[in-house]
Amino acid sequence: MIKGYEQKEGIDYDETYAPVSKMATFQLILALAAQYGWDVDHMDVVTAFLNPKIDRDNIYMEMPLGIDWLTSNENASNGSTSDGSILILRKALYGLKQAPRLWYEDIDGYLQSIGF
Amino acid sequence: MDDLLIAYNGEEGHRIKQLLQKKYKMCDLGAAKRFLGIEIEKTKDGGFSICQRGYINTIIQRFRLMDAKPAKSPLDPQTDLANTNCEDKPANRKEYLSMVGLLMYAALGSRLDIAFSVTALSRYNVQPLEMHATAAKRVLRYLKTTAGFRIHYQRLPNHITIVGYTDSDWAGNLTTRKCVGGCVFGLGNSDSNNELVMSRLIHWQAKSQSVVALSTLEAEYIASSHATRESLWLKRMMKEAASGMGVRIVDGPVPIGCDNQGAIKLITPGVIRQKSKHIDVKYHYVHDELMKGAVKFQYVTSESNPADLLTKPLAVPRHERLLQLTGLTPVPDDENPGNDELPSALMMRYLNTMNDSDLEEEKGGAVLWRRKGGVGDKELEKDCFC
Repeated sequence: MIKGYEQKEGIDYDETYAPVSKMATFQLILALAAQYGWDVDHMDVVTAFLNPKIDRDNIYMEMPLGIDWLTSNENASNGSTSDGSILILRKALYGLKQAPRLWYEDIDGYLQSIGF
Repeated sequence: MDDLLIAYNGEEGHRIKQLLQKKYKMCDLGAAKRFLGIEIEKTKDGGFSICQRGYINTIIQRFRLMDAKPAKSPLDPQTDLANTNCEDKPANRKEYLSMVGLLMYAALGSRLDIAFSVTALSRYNVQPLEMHATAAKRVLRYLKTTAGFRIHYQRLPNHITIVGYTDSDWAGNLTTRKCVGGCVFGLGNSDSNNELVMSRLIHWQAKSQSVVALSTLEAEYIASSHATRESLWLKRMMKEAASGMGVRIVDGPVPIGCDNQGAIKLITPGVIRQKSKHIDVKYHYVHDELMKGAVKFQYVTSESNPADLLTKPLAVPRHERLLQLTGLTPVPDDENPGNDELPSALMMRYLNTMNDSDLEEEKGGAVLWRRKGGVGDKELEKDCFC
């Protein structure tokens, strides 16, 4: 697990604010769709938070259990990386303080690039 | 966070989906049926209706209230939640908080009829007593019988506009003497007599005011200012959404219904405000917006002001009458709500089927509820926050 609670502001993350839509927006869209005969479809992004690249290059995590194939050390499977190897994150993970923010920036940038 | 809705016209939807799928791995769930725990149904006339029946039933099961007696209104106007003299035992705080939290989501999603109750109950989040837990359970017992209530979105004739109502109680909070202001917004239009017609409910709010108002007039004035801010935001949202789809919305001030003549006078330009100098400057903003033509206030009687629901606990007949005005009404799935008269007719039928003896309970039923939840927590969380 990524221990988001051990992250320090200014070192491991800066911005965490991520907007979500209000309920009223959802209801307004439905009301307008009914008025003008629009269709409303539902989509879901698979593992959304794993999409964005991470915003800094100094986030490390301990080796999680069960991925001993990542390391040559055979003891790694019991969680104790006796050779001291740790992981560096290239992309966001669920549990990271800035993950929702990074995802928001990612999708927002893409939506704007395709003309929204 | 990872769920999204796409409203589109014709073939445009496929193009957008393709573009999104080019960049992200996505699931296409087709026409929206369930979004954030809210059930969406497409009606035969091309409209939509939403409800939270599944969500509400999960809460009722979680607190084991399946067999509890039904209640006809969410809060009893006779109960004084602020009674500090009562020697009541403290309630299980964790359970109380989770109950209020779960109710809050229902109040936000589709149930404006419990919005005030949730606001009132959450004042006691810090030290809930047994009577507060009992009141919270009454809200659930009310939801139990009204779980299928829906908001309907159908096509309206003529041009549409945002229509709102504002209301406020006065010194309703007996401890702090602060007021609760409420507002309701929907799509609608003015009929030929220039009367307000609001039928497609889209936004509501019950909010404790941050200052103590000295009179009803002041409380209503402050509530009007809040309603103005909400209306401007809604109008801008609507214009933006519509212009992206190539629809033009007719411009004009947002009509807001208010049941206090004095407050309307006070907002009217040119009225000398000798006695309102002490009201915080930020609330005079409503005056400015009126001058700019962004809003206009119209008198409605208290009996026809649905925002009343959001400011105080009401007696059952009044609660039901106002609820009809909002358009949050029961419609069975097998009926086609093509006719505007239908929801109210069904409401009458629903009222007739309820037995008056259901109301005589309160103390007797309390023992039934004293059991702890716990089962089904996981599913519930999945349901609310996926």
